[in-house]
Amino acid sequence: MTENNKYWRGIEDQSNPELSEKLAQNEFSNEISQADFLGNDELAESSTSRRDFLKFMGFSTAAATLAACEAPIVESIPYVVKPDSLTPGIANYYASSLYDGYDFASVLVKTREGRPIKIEPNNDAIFNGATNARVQASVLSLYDGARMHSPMMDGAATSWKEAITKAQSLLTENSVLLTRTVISPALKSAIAKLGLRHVSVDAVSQSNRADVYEALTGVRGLPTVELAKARLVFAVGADFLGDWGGENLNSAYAAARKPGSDMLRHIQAESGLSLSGANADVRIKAKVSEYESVLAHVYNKVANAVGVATVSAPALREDIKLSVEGVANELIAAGSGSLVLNGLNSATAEKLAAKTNELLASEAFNTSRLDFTASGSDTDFAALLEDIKSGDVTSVVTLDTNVLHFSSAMASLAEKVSLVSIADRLDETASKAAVALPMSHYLEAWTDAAPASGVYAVGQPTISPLFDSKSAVEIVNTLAGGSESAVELIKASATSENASKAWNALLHDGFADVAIEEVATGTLDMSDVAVSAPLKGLEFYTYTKAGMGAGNNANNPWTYELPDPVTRLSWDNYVVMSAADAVAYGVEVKAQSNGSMNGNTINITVDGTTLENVPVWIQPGQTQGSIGLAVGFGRTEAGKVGNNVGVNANSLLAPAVSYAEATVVATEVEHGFASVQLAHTMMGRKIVNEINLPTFLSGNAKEWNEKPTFESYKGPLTSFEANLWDDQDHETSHMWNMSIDLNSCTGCGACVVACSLENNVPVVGKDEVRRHRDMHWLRIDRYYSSDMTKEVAEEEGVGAIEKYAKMEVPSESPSVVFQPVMCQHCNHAPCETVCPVGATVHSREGLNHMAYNRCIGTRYCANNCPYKVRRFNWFNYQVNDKFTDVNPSQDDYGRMVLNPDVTVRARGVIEKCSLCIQRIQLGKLEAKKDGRQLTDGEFTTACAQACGSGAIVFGDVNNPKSEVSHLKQEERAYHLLEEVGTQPSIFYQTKVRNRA
Amino acid sequence: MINNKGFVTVATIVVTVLFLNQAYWWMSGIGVEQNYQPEQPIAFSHALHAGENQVDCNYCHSSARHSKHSGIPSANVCMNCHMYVDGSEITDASGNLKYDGESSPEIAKIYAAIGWDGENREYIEDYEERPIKWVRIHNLPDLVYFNHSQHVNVGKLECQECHGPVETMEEMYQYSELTMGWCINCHRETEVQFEKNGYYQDFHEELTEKYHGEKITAAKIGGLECGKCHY
Repeated sequence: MTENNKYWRGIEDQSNPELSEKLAQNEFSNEISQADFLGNDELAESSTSRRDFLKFMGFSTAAATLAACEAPIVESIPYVVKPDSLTPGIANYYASSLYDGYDFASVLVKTREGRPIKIEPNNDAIFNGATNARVQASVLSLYDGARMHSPMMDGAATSWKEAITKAQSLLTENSVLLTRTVISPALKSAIAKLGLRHVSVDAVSQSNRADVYEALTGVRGLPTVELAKARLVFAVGADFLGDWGGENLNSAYAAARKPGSDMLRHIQAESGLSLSGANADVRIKAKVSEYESVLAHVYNKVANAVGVATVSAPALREDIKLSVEGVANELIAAGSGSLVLNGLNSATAEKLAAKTNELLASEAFNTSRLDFTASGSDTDFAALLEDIKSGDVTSVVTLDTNVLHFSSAMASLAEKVSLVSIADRLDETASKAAVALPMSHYLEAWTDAAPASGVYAVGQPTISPLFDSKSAVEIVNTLAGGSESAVELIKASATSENASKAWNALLHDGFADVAIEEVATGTLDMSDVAVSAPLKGLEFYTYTKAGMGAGNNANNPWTYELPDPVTRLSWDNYVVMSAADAVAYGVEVKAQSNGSMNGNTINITVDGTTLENVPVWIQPGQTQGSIGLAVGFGRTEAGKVGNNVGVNANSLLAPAVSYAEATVVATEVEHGFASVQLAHTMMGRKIVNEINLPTFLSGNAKEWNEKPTFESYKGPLTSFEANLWDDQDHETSHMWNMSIDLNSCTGCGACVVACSLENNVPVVGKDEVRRHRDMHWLRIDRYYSSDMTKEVAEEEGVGAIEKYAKMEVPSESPSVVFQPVMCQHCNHAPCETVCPVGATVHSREGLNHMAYNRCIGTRYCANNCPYKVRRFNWFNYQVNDKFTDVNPSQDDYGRMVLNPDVTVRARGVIEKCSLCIQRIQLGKLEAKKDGRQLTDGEFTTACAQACGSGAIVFGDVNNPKSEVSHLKQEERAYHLLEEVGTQPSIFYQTKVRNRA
Repeated sequence: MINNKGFVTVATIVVTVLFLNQAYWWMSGIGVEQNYQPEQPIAFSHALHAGENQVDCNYCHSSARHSKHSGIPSANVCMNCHMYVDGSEITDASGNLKYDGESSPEIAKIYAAIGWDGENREYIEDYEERPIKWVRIHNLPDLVYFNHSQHVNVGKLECQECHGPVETMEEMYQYSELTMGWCINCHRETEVQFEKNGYYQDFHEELTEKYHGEKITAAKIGGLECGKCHY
């Protein structure tokens, strides 16, 4: 017998049964009038009936359709007199060089129809031929509409003649020329001609380090290193893969770290997790204020071994003491193959490092060949500030230095002097100047440079100035009363520098070697070395990010959109703090329901100055008691992209000061981060295959690089043998493959920016990145190691649920690995089978093609992609108002950087890495036109070309002579997620760490 | 008959199908600009230049051999001949000088563009050049990559295969459809020019073996793959 049970539909039914009953009876509860519903009173008065509305709509739709059928008239305007060197549709390359006070690089500039559109490395260059993310991005700064369009006087545009006259009238014998480091011989002679007192100061200072070498050799500069001669490098706070000096060491580092018995071992002692620290074999967590003591302890140990006097040093923390002593022993054992690097802007630290190298007879440490790219003087600058205070200096000419942004001391004194600014835009400094003179971008200017001993480089314009600007050297020369043009000045300089090449050859190559002047090498005076005691409390320091650097590209959206390699956050700077400190100060970072990350903010007080509401990011590997903040952010006068992004770290700490004691208070304000990676550990899977060197040398590759197999009636098969499909013919003609060496990849991000440039990848801005709608075709995943592993769980008997929960948590002192991931061009592609319209199909050359005009935007492919590399165009980024401030394609200047060989994608289609098919097609075509066979390495993808460390190798595996076909046979080679059977065309090389 | 349900049904179906068919063909024609013949700023005759005077196409459209663009000749290329040929000798039907010994008004447009002083036979110094605004006839959508040099230089196609009998055209017009079907069709039919091209040296034999002596068309070496033209 059935019983009439009463079931409640929900708790609200039970709590108010009458109302529920009433609602159940009356489905459309309240009569809402149409006008109310539409919320617009005017509609009620409108005489347009629904019928009329439909008529109007029908007519306008039909009219619009018909209008759209009419093809627009396209004008085609040829040259009147075509330049001989230029053929429309064919790219020209020019050698040039860039120096912006922070980065120096010898580059090749790719131009199309007279527009520079891409920066490529100059592989022949003898100094810094490689590019990094900032150098790659620099081409977009050329097309920045926020640059000064003409000389400015008292906030109004004026002519060059008037501006120069006015500027000259402000110059007296009490004037000072304030610049960033000047390495241009031509600019130096123009400055000498101007005859003003010259002070140079850098936004990222190495001044105290340079002081040491000035005293030692008589020449102001920083030592260069030859990593090829080192077997063990110990870097203390020296992010030598990032901002340590002007020298780009990525390629030398990667070459020295090729796995083998002579592989370079790298130990890093540092506070925050830098790129170098992330790549190190062993990392020691030391506070910035402990760097000197760490170096002193190593020095003392070495000094004892060699038998020279030691220095007095405060005791080290117990937990790092043993490791530091161990390092010292290793250094002694490595002898002349060892190298100690210091990154602290302190004469004491630098002397300790240099002397340790001297005692060990380090062959890699070179003080006779110096790097001049960061040789500003904080002492001179401090003296200038004193003189301004006392009224001895009445006017200051700034040249390419945004000193009012990075020096709050100077900012507070700005009222006391009249300013003349030579700058590219009305930045924080130039906007305060009585006269602002627009300086050309390096792609429009004549420049020269002597970046290091024995190196001379020139930079040539690749486009006429877009605005009414002039080369810096010409401006200074004009101020000094000269009338020569920039090219005349550079030509004269090249002659007097005794460049080893004739002018045309020099322009063709972009660089020349010059005779190295012999420098007198003195002895390091260790008598004044006083090692300062570590800070007891919380210390605050500043650092640089891979994308932003010193902040010279502060209005360049690519530098913001590039996620920080370590934190994987874009569009921000933030305090990095250890998890233990975060607990102590009561701050958290939490995932939101939409997958983005929100965190707490803090007020930081240093020396009486408070910076409010600074977001905090909890960073594994951060040293406890030490917090860092990146410089270059917090701009107010950079332009629409860079204004009000992040906070100005230099308002708390001048560049001359490395660290200071800080107090921190958590605030109520929440901050939203734009994080592109949520999973930080690999959860015990073979995503990045990583082994230690002894395993590599003596282990069995079948064990440390085990290939997944599938059981079948034929016995176990590999994923390449187990096959249900009819394969394409991949043997005839080409088969493009790519090898990515995880041992060489330093995670610098140059490839990501290069890819964005080459393939017209849109910039989407912080809000969209927060929603994980970033469009980068190539990302560099970063994984931390976890304290919990499957082995540990087994040993300790941890249950499965707890094991996996703990595996998600990164270690407090993690190992870090980087893995570039782009479309894997699977030969059994999961995306291809699910596309309902055949928009993504396979080619016989091993590429996964994407036809944008076929795509209808179902996104099945993105869902089915195991590598998550497909990107969906949620908006028309080129026209949508939401992206006006961030997307360069939205103004007439920024659009000029687009690569004309690649489609600009519209809304509603999927896009992804094409393996730079435009380059493949062009390369093949060139060979066909010449009637010759393709040679390996003749062309490569944008990422491979930009990669300074040579981690990415692209080529034809059907060519048995190609590098990539050899790499495919390497025992380190493996495919990402090989067990899913996708048979990718991209493969990775196992990472090998030089530790036991 | 109007009451015959069967008839009405059939008629409706027939009319609908016819309508949809017509609509389909009409809509597939949208954007197809075959026979497009816009008015040009200069009444340039291909029939005269390429036909009567036998000027090679590549003389003016020189970048067709090297670049993706065939290129519209710059005015200085015109001047190679028109420095001497100014049209003053042109006669009308009755044999009188058409322009009274003056240069032809059409050729004078080139002079106006580049700044040529016909009287003194010299270029005018510091002349502000006035580029000629031709109207582009052959427009491919931005989503297609087309390269002239691939077809002219490697594929050894005659210009006329796509552009029609240009040497007879008084006024230039778009001869071909320039639709994807038209491209594809040609790729299916056209044989690859293996001869004397070192690039194909190795795979020519492999392909011959694979296709057992069938003719090897562009399609057979991947000429139908999406990514070959769309990227």
